[in-house]
Amino acid sequence: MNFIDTNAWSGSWPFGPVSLIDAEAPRVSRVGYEINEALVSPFDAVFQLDPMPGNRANFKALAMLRSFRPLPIINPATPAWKDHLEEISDHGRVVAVRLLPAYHGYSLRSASVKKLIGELAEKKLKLVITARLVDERQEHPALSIKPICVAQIKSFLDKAPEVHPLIQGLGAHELNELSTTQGAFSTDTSFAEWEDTLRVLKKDIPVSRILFGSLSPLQVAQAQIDKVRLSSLPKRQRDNVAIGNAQSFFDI
Amino acid sequence: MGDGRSTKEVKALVRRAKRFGIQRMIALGDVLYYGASPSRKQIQTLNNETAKIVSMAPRFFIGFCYLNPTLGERAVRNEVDRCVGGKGFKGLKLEIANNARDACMKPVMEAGEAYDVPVLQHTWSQTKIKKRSFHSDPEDTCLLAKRFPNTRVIMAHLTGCGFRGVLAARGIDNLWVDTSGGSPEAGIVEHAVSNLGSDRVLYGSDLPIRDLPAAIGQVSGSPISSRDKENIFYQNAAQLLKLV
Repeated sequence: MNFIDTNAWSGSWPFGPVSLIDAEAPRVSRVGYEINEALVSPFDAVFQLDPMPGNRANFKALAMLRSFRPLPIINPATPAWKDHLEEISDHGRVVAVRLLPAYHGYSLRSASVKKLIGELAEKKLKLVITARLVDERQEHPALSIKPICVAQIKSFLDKAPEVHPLIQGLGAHELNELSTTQGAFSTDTSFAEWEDTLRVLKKDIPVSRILFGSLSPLQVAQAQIDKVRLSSLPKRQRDNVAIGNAQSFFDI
Repeated sequence: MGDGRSTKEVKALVRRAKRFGIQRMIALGDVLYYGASPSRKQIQTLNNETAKIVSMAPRFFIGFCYLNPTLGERAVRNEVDRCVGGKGFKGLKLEIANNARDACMKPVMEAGEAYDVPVLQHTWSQTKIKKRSFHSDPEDTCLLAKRFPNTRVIMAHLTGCGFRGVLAARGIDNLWVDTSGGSPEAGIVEHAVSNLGSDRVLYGSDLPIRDLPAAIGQVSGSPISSRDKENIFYQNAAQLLKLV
C-alpha cells in the first residue's frame, strides 16, 4: 500500500525526546514503511514569529530528496507575510502553505487571513491549517496552547466556502461537530481516532475528504499507517485515504 | 454502529482483534457510563455487563471488576467477592471516583492482595487537567503501589502519564504501566522501556476510544528490541494474570 504523508515535519522539537529530530527525519522515518511522498513542514518555524529561516532551512534540507515536498509555513500576523508568500511561491515544488494560528497567535477570522486567502487563490496554492500539534492534556508545562476551537473553524468555513482547506490535527469529536458546517474542508488522520477510525469518521465526513497524515516524528508512523492500512473499509477507499485524496487535493 | 454491547458487535470485535494477533482481551466495562462516582447498584449493573460480554467469548475475554472505593469497605468487599470470587474476574478496575492517595483505597488494595489479582488504576498527568481531587496523577498511583507493596498495581495510560510519570514509576516492584491512552506519541514507549525495563510495560488499547491497529502500531513501530515487544505484547500480561 502506498502513502502520501500530508503531515510530516523536519527540524527539532524542543519539548520531548522524539526519536527523529533532524532534517533527515522524514527520510529515516519512511524506511520500512510505504510512504512514497511526504509534505514536510519545519518545526523551526513553529515557535518563531518569523517563519522564513525555518522555511529556508527546510527547502535546503529537502532539496535533494525528491519524494519530499516542502510545505512552508506562513504567519499572516507578521507585516512581511506578503513578501514571504512571494518568496515561497517562487519555489517550484511548493503546492500549499500551512497556517499555525494557535502557535502564532492570530484568529482565522482576522483580516490578514482573509487577504492571504485571496493571494493563495491567485497563486493557485492550497491552504493547510494545523488545529493542534500535541494533545493539550500532555503539553509541556511551559506551554498553554489551545487548539483552534470548532466555533472558529465553523465561522471560517461558513464565511469562505470557496476555500476548502485541509485542516489537520482534529479529533473525532471535533469532526463530528463540524459535520454540519456549510463550507467544505478536508482533514487528516493524525489525531482523529476511534476503534476502526476511518469507518467511524466516514459518518461525519466523506472518505474523499480524509487524507493520510502521520504527524511524524511527533507520533509513531507505524501506528498512523496501520490506522489506514488495517481499516475495515474497502481497499479502494483505504487507497484513496492513503494516497488518492492527497493527489487530488494538492493536484500532485 | 451501536454501543458495543450486542452479541453481533462483540463477536465482530473478537474477529477483528484476532486478525491482528490478539489472543486475550481484558474487558473493563463501560466505566464512565454513570459518571465519575457510580452507586453500588450501578457498579453491579456495569460488572454484570462485563460478565455478559465475557460469557460471549470466555476463552478470549478476561473480566476486571469495576469498583467505586468511595462506597466504603463493605460495598467494595461484597462486589469483589461477587465478581472475583463468584464470576472469575481476574483484576480490579478503578477510574476517577477518587484519588489513588485517598484512604478509601485501603479495602480495595487489601482485596487485591487477598485474591492475588492486580489493581488497574486510571492515571493521567494532572499538570494540565487539574482535577486531582478525584483524578489520579502518576505520582498518586505510584504512592498507592508503594503503600501496598503486596498488591500488584497497573498504572493505566502511558501516554497520559507522560515522561514524568515514567520517572515516578522507577524502582517500584509491584507496579506496571500500560501503553493505552492518547495518540501514538513517539518516544514514550522507548522511554518507559529504558527507565523501567520492558518487563514493567503492558500493551493496552483503550478500546473503543482508540484505534486497535494504531494501539498495536505504537508498540510495534517503536525502536525497541523484538524481545521487548514480546514482553509488552504478551509475556508480562500472561505472567501478571497467571495465564501461563
